[in-house]
Amino acid sequence: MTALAPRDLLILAVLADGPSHGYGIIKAVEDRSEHDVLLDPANLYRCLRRMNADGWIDEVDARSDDDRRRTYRITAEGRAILRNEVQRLEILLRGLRPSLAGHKR
Amino acid sequence: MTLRLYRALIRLLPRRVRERDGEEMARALADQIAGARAPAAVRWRALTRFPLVLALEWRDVLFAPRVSSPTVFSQGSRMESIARMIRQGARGLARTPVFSLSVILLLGVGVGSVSAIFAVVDHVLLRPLPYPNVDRLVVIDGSHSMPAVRDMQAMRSIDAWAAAATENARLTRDGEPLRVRQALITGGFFPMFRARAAVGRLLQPADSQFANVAVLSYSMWVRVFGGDTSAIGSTIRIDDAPTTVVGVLDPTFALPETIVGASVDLWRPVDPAAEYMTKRDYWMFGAIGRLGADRTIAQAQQEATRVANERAKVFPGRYTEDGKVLELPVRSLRDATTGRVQRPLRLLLGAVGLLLLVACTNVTHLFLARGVGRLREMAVRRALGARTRLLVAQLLIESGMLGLAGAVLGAAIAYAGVRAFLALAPAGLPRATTIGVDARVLLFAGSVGMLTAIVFGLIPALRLARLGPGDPLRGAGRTLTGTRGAHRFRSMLVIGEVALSLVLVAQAGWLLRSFIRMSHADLGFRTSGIVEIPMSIPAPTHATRDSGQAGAPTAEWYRRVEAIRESLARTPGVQGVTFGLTMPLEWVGGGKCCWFARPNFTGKTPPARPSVTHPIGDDYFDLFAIRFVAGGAWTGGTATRAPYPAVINEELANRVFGAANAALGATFVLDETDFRVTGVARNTRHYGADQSYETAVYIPANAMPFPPGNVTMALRTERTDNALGADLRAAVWRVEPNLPVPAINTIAQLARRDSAHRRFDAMLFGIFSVVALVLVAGGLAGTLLYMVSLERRSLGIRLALGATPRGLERGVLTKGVGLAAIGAVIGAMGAWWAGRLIESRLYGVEARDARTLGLAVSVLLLIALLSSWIPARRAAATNPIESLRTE
Repeated sequence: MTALAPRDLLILAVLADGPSHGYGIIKAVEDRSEHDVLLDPANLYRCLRRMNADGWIDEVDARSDDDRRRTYRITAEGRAILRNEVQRLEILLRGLRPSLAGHKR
Repeated sequence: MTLRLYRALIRLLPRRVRERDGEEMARALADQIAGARAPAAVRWRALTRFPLVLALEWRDVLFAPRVSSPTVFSQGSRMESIARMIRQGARGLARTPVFSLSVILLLGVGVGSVSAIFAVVDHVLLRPLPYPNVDRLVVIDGSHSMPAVRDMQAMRSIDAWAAAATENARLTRDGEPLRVRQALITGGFFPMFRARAAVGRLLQPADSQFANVAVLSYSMWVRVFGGDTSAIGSTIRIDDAPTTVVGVLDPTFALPETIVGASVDLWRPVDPAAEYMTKRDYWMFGAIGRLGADRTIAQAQQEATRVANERAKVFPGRYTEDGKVLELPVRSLRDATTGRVQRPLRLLLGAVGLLLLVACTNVTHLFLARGVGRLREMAVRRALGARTRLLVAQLLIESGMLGLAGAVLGAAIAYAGVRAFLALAPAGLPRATTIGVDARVLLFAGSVGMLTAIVFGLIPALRLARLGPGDPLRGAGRTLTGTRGAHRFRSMLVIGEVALSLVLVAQAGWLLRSFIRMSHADLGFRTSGIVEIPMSIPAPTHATRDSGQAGAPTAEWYRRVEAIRESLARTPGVQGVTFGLTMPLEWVGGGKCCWFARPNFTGKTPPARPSVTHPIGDDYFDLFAIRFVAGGAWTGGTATRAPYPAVINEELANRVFGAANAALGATFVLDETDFRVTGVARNTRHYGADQSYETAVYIPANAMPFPPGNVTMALRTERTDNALGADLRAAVWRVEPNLPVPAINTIAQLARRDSAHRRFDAMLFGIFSVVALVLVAGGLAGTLLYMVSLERRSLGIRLALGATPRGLERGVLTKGVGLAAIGAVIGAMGAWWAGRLIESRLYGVEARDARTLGLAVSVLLLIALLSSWIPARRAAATNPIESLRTE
């Protein structure tokens, strides 16, 4: 498994907490990344289409009652990919920390 | 505002994306802006990120790899399938490099030659002349005297007039004298063509009061003054008369060549005091007029005819020739400029068109042969569900790609071709200076290349498309390409090719014969070992002449010319020197200079047409070996006073006296001077081999009633070494240190110039014919080889049944020559018809000369026989067992 782009990782992480619609995802991603990753609708929906086609996420069948926004949720496959990526990053960080500590002043 | 823009951008997305997410994207952005702490940053980001996504989405749609497509052509968008067809086509063409390169080469040769000639035709004939109101400019054909030009101004339909005359002059500043071409123009000339000055000014109405001002051509300004602006206002001497330079003409000014020729060094106003302004004898001006708005040439012609009739009445005998009124033909400037070359150029275009057709026939052969291989591929694809329309489109795209490559090669060939054309073309092609390959020509080459490739590629494509669904698979290609229909089509192509080539070859043959005839024509004078030197002997310009007898100006002029003659005669290797106003072959191609007059014979009615009058030095007839029919020339020193001795030619003697002998001793008055005929000389082709005989009078140069500005020396010598020119110039300068000696021409050079355009015609048609013959040989051999390879099975069976290899060989030869014979018959008819078109270009050869046509047919049949040989050998070498096994 290759590395995920930060944007993809964050979107999967947001959806892992519960289904959301487009604007909800934009907001949550901004919050979680402490305004480091900023999304615009065009890029967001392009990502969503790709993840949907790859089977990482799917649409919630019934659209929420008040408006007709499409809501996305994470699939089992998406969850596995998220888990793998987080594990990979943890291992990576574990390997990096000592070297960082060693050069501490 | 941002939202509206964003929605507009969303509309640009591919349909599937737009329908799915477009609405949501807009809403998300609206929410995002509403909830943002810095809405401006959100807006900025949304708008600036959009284009990349847009591009990516379209890329996905157009170039997505579709591994899962069930058919060869999926239902994707049109763009997508075209892109794929191009890729596929390129791969296919690269797999058959011999085919592709052959097609490109053939198209390149065809398109290149057509485009090169088109470039010439376009620049010379098609583009408008760069003058204001050019459609309304008309020329009154011929040369006119200034009073005659004034007569014409009675024409109501013409609202502006200009006239110009050109002559040689001698320009001196500090250094050596230059022989220059000067134009004498009326005040209306520059405004009519909207000429501009590069430096200083052009001529003004006030200038016509004093003739002593001049406008220089740009190149003369650079040559004499080194492009120094201080030239303006300075004084030069023109024929020894001090003249003030007032300006320099814009170098981009396009000369009205029909009026002033292809080059003018110096422009001066007409001199109001000169004799030529009032005398009707100086036929030296070209006249040009501008039609009034909504007037037509026909109206102008009516009025011109009225003017012509009227003046013939007022001046009896002066404006008639052979009893008919001299007309004043009105032609459009465009016609007058290019009319002379229109026919030859169209003819050339037609010839290269034939060449292109022959090349295209070969291209069709190649496409057909390749079609066999493609047939099975196409059948398989169709069986898998590809639609016929798309298969044909695929073939067309491949043709188009070949066409484009052919056009690129053709453009390169055209570029080289135009340069070669201009280098080889005889002088006198109007507007030649601007000819080149430009955007228009490239566009033409591109269109011709694409069009021919697509049309001739389409023929096999349509044949493929007509096939039933299972045909090619069943027959494994053989049954289809071996059908009678395909055979017949291929045979027709060969026949057509042979016919087209024969037309070209026959024309080339006629033109070549005519050139050879002209080179060996008997001109009536010696055409080797003679050198001619034209010069401007300074004479008091526009001097009033003494009436009745040769005056002091002529005596002075004659003394100086004699001094030059004697100096030249002392040059080592020179056997004799004479001189005259014009010398044989000095003027060729239809131009006739310089003095036409009517000798008035005692007791005879004046001749109906003017005669060329040759003032000549003593040894003229000896030097040129012109023979006498009766009497002889005067001897040196006898021509001292009237009546002066004179020689007339056979043509004039026959017209006036009916016989040469009857003319001896007759007296006549010419330009108020008395002469007595001492001899009748044979006719000569003084103005070139293809010009008709003129009536001519030869008089001693010292008997001229006025001194001419020009004289040409002719000397006899066997020398051909490089030092000859320097020796001759030195000889002239020994006695006339300030005299320009611009040219020293051998008479052989002049004769070559005389036949230059015939040589050019013959050469171009010859080149086209050779190329066409090579193409025919290739096409015929290729087709027969191909047929033999298709018929191997039947040849094998025939061998097995007892046919001899010799028999098979003969069969193929018969087929090849038979096809060529049919083509030759059709081509001979075509050539017969086309012979009419080149009739006027021929000299000494009957148009449609049958011997030449027969020779052309034999050449083609011989080539057909030769190119059938290899296929015939191949057929004879068929191994019956092997050829049966391969199926």
